[in-house]
Amino acid sequence: MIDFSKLDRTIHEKGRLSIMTLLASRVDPWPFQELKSELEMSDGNLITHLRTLDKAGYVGANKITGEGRPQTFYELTAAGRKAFVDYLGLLEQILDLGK
Amino acid sequence: MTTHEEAAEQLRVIRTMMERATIFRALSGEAALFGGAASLAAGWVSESRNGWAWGSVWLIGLAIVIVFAIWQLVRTASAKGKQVWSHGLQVALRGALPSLIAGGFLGLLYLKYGGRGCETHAASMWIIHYGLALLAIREFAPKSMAWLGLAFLVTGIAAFSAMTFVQAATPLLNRLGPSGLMAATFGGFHLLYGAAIVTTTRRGDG
Repeated sequence: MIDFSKLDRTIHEKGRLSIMTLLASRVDPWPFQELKSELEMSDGNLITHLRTLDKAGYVGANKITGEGRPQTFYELTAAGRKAFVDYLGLLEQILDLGK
Repeated sequence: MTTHEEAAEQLRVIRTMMERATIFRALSGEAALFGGAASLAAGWVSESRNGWAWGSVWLIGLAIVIVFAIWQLVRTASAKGKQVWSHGLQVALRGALPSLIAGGFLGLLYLKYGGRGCETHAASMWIIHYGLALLAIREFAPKSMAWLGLAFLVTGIAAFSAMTFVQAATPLLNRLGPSGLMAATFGGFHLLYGAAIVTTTRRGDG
């Protein structure tokens, strides 16, 4: 029996799910600007979602200040990767149930 | 929306994002059309030349196509507000460059030391290795690019075999000539590919 309460509400929201998916698609961290252009989100919207994910301990940020403009890079933490895999597993179970 | 429908919708979001993040079209439809047209022109110009003179025509054609492809890449990236030196481009170059360099070098070796018929050998090397380069990036390229790579690889191997071991097919290859072979593959295949991409891809899609 599937326990639907286990469905992670932090990830379940579409904007945050998209962010988690992009971060999970690569080993390398994503620069903020690239995330923004792939997701077609406004700065404010993206920052709000990233803060929520950061609070949950799912993403880590690293600000690089060198030559030119400083850039912030984001990546999944180990907890974030595990949460994403668990979330996928639960979705698959739900779909299997409907077969 | 039922839980089942909701789960299917969430998986669709994940799939779309994964594709957007990992699939990179290294060869745009416009670049393929331009490359195809340039190859047909190079085939016509190189028809009456041999050795280095023949190879030079194709190298000049290649340089023009590379300049166009870079311009196209910069234009598309700035229109979409994306980086030109993107992760997709870096991964595509890492995958394709070894085959392209190896094939380019072998082709030039044939032109320098190959003697009579060296142009067809060089053309075969370039066609085979270009096909291998496209196949090397198939995991993160649209399916159409893998088919294009396969077409180049099969034609290149067939041409090389006809030139060396399968004597029965040699007359056919001789009739086509090295310029005809290059024009048919780099020209014809790219024109077909470019036309298919331009007519089937929605505006704004990669």
